[in-house]
Amino acid sequence: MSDLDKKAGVNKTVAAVLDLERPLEFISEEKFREVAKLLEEVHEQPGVQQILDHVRPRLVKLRPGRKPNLQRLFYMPLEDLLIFETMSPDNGMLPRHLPALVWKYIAERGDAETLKQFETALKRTGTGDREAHKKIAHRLWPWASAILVNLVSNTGNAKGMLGRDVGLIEELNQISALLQAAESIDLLKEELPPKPIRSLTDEQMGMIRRTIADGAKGDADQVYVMVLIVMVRMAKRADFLENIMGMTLGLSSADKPVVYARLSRLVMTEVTDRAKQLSATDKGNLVGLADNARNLVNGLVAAEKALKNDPRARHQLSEMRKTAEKTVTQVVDNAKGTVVAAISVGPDAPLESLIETENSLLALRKCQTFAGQIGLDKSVTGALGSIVGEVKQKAEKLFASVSHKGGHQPDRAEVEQEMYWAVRMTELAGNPDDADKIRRQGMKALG
Amino acid sequence: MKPNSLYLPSTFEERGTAAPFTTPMFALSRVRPDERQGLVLLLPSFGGTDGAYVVPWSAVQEIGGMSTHDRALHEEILAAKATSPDMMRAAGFKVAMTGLAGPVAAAAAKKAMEDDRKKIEETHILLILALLTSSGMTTQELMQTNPETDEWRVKTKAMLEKSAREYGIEIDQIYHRIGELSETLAPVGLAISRQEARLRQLLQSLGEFRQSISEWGEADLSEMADFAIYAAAVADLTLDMAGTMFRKLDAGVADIGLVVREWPTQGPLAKHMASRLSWLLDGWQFVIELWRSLADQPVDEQRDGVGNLMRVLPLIPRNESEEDEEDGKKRHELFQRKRLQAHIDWRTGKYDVELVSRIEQIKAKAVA
Repeated sequence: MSDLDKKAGVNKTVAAVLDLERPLEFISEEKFREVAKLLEEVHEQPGVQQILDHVRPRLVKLRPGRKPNLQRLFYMPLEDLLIFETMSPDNGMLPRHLPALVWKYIAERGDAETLKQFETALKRTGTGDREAHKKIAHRLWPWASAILVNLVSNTGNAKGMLGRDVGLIEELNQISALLQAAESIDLLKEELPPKPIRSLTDEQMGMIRRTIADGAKGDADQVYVMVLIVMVRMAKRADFLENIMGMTLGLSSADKPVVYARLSRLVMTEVTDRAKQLSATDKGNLVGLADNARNLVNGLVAAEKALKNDPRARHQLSEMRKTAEKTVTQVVDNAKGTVVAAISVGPDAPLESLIETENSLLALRKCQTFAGQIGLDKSVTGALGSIVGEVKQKAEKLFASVSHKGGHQPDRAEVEQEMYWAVRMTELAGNPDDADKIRRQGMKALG
Repeated sequence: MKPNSLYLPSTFEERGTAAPFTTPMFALSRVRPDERQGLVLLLPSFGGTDGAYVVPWSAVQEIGGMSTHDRALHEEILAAKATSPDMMRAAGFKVAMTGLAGPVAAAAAKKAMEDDRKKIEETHILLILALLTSSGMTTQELMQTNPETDEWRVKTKAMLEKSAREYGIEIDQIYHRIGELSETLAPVGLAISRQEARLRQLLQSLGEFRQSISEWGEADLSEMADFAIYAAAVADLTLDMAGTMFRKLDAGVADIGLVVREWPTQGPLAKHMASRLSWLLDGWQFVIELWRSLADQPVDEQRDGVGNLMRVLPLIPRNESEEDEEDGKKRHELFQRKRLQAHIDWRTGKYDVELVSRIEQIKAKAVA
């Protein structure tokens, strides 16, 4: 098979995996292992990293079944930060090939006898014996760290080791700091709930603060990596950043703003990604636009609070805010237009149109939950209010025609259908209590 | 009191029938008759126990936050006295068809009603063929005739008259018994004709659910993993019981001639067995669809989903299962040890249009 054929085969497989009807975490363990192995092999293919990130919790859980090698033990303090990109993302995340390069260097330059001792010790442990593996890791980290500290202390040597990856010098320094803080990081990971962490108790925040302050002993690089390790596990990273940096972490007053600024890069990446996601959303998908706009606005509000002292970040966030406002204004206008047009047609519209009307109302209601944060609350409430008003008017006219004695009486089934439609519209745009009033009014009119 | 008897109802009827409400707080609440109140609603617990709040029917709407669909369903259940899964299905369809749970749920209800009707007709034909075969007649010619034609009707009538004479009963009795049996067996399907039907297909979905949630539980790192594995065990127990019930029912109606001939004893027996199956599987379709809806959600949403799902898991009543004391104890301990919290949004008494909309979508799929 030629390389080209192989590549075509791989692409086909990736496409098949992407097209899987049942997401990967729902397939059997055996199949999952097979697919995971394949994906690891073709991880540089577009889209594969996204899948691997998505199924990582399951990969992690399945890992105890395998006996780790020394390289895997070496990776433990930094595994939460690994990404598949090859360039520096400049936000604290680490391109996956870099630690592989660093490990190769350590294995070559480190004392062969000590390395052999670690390997022998690891061989003697049982497959699932995590405690024994950890004990070896706790001896391995300081040994590897010493070699690395020695390397990074000489910029020329460090650049030489990196070769064509010389752009990753900051990341190399970060790996060195991570290894120096490895024991504290391990302690933090042991004590924290699994990812994503939605919130932390005061006791947990206290534990994090103590572990960082005691472990880093005022070293800015170590404080940075330890906060970063917790931050990547949090669902609301900006909120965590603001809270933890408000605590005493043993940093000097000169170091504190520098560490804060380094950490804020990850918050900015996250908000920028959300902005990109919003602009990539199909303009006809009002519910998707509202969901993604809410996601962005929530991220923006938290980031603005956390980064209020960073003028450059503030400027970038303000630009993104304008985009969010513009998108939400369009969603509100389009949704209102669709619903108003639907009111004149009523329940006789085709199923697709009825669904589109409901989705437009749902989009408006989603926008209502965050419109206040971007100054559009009046616009959204006004749109919903006018819809409720128009539907009510239509319903009252209908009930009056039923109550009117003499002349042509409308068909009962049709009136019922119109009534239920008005009830539904009022509930979606307003609330169930007002909607139920229309239902009772209608039932009374129908007798 | 034994630990496993603390919260489990003793019979299916005591467990109540699952009502297709769309407001999160009421989703899959159960309804049962009550001597004093007429009807009561069993509202799943929100705390760390597996019990349920018993709410008098007249007080249900006072709890608040109910969608108009649920208010109409609440009224319809009382009017129809819908206290069995089949009656609840009919009441649910009637209200869903108004459109109060959205156009998709309305269309799904309309289609499901149509499918149910077609299935009864199909079962009716299959039963006639099975009866004639059982009477030793060849049905080759009938199989080649369109059942909607007069030709079919004339031919079958002649053949059924022959059977009636043989059985010593009137032909009208045969028609009546076949008619009743068709309605009884339509949701279950006729094994002798390899006929697929709603409840038999549900077993397939339940098997997939058991596999999927068990593997999720094995893979998840949070405390919800134990609950997921427990849900898989309940599904497993349900599958075992359903398998046994299906085998008994299939054997009981294997000879349609015998069932029709000895209708006074065989008819009620078939109805009883089909009804038990319907009770056993009541509520599972919603649980399965709820789980499916989480498949492409982030892991924290899935964990919340497991919490919500645990609240409405159709546990098998004490006297209906063969669960031993040890299993019951284990289940009780799980709920005691872990504080199971339904996601905060599902506990609120406030109407939440987004959550209601999600449940409406699940509901529409659950009747399909």
